Amino acid sequence: MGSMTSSGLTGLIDELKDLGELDNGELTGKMLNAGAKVVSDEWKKGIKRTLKKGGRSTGDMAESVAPSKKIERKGDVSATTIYPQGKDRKGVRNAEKAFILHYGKSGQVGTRFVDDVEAAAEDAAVEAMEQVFDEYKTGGK
Amino acid sequence: MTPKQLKAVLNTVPGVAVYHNKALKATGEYIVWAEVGKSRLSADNITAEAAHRYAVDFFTPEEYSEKPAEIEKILEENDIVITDYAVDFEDDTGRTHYAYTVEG
Repeated sequence: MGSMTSSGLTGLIDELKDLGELDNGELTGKMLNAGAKVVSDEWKKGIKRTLKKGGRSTGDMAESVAPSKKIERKGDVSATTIYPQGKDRKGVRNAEKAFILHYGKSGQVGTRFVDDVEAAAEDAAVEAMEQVFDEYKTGGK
Repeated sequence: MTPKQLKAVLNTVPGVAVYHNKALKATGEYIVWAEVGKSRLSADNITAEAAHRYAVDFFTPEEYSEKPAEIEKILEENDIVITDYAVDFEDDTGRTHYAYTVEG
């Protein structure tokens, strides 16, 4: 008979549940921050790479990428949102510029660059969170 | 699904001009589509499945256009999966932009 194990983010959530640590806000906050750092870095790389193709970048939008300050609870899972924050030097919202870069607009085809960012960041982000969890389990915190 | 096959599918949307990459002199309601990548599923150290990923963008100056529902139905009937969907109203052009990311 075959068996199935969960891995990646689902596996990590399952393990937190099994050990009764899913409600440990301090631990999950640290894990989220570690994962968010990886995803933010990948976002920055993705924006720079995408804009470089068109040769039009001041670097402002890439540098504005950061996790949301507040950690949200979605059901029994904590989450943070990563996106370009604030406005550029012309007063245009960086998130709006990222939206257009991703989805395009009339006269400008979208790049869907966030799909590539997410694919590139997923494994490394989970690994970073696992590392924090492993340190916690072995008493390193 | 190859780019040519997707183009053929999109051309079946009635009353809508279809453009590849750039919509030159487009007026009214129109679709622009572009290749954006491939999704791969690896198994046994080989690429077991690969699907093309496309951006399909529908622009309309109409309010409450029924075309998005038609586009979605046609995509679905042709086994093209919508993996992401967003809608945005463009202040500067007065158009509503229905942005689909699809795989097939």
